[in-house]
Amino acid sequence: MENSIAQDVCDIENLITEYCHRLDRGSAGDVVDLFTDDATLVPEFDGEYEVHGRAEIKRFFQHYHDHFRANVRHLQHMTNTSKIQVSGDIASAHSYLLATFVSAETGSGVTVTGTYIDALKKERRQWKFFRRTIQVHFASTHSDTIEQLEPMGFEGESSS
Amino acid sequence: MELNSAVITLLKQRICQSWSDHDTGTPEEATAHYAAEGRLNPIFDNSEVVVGRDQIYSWFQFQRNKFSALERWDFQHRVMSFHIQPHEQMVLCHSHLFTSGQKREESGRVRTFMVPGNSRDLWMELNGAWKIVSREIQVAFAAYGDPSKPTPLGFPTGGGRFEKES
Repeated sequence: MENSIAQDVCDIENLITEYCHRLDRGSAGDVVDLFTDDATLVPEFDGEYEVHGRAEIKRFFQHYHDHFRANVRHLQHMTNTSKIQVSGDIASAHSYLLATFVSAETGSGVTVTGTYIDALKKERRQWKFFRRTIQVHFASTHSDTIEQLEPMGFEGESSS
Repeated sequence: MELNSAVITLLKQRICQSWSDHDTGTPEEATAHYAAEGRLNPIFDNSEVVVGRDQIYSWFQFQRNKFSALERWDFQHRVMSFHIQPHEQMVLCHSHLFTSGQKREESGRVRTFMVPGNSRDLWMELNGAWKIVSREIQVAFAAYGDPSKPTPLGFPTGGGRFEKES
């Protein structure tokens, strides 16, 4: 029993992490593959609306990529402190979000904090998002930003 | 004490739950993670070690009264980089913290804060439930900034976009 719950928790942690990597570097189709057919996305950070169904969720992420991701560099979504509760083939998760990027327009680094609140379903042995709510608490801009660190100056032995 | 991957996974969940309740739980919920004779040592605060569940409850109550939701909000302790190892009949867990939030200064100005630190916990399974025997919280530094909100995406209305009922 303990092993099967632990496996579900690990699988859900991987799903939550996978979303971050696909959102940062994948296509809208890659992201929407992590949602059930009847899923709902609630991007609270963007207004008072919900997005229903995979086709519309895909359209949302395409819009996100075209209008946000295309205008930033080094986008990284990071999740942690995920509180996961499993009950059979359904689960809930509450995770802290930290995202960082550099604005292509200003060159400033930005840090964003927030929360993901998820309802999940296991379909054909695979956990997927059934409802994902995205909250953003604040963004903080760092005007002193560099994108290339000074080299350390390490001189290794040259291979001949 | 032998630690297998299932125990480590579930123990990490308990650690995440304890920090989530530390941030947004009631004093009862935050205190329930500690053993009856548990110790909380907020080293960053330069204060005494808090010993026993009753005193820990008082500490969380004091903290929540001192920092009301009008003075500090969006408080999140991100816990990561778990280093978990057996320690006699207990489990020692050393983890990194990255804390963020917003606060209102005396002048009324709102600032964001980001605080790296770490936590050194001793956990023990008591009557089938993992409890904190000891937790030391260290802070490395605090960095302050000015908050802003993201620019709206302007996602256009379509067949699957529904305005939420107010």
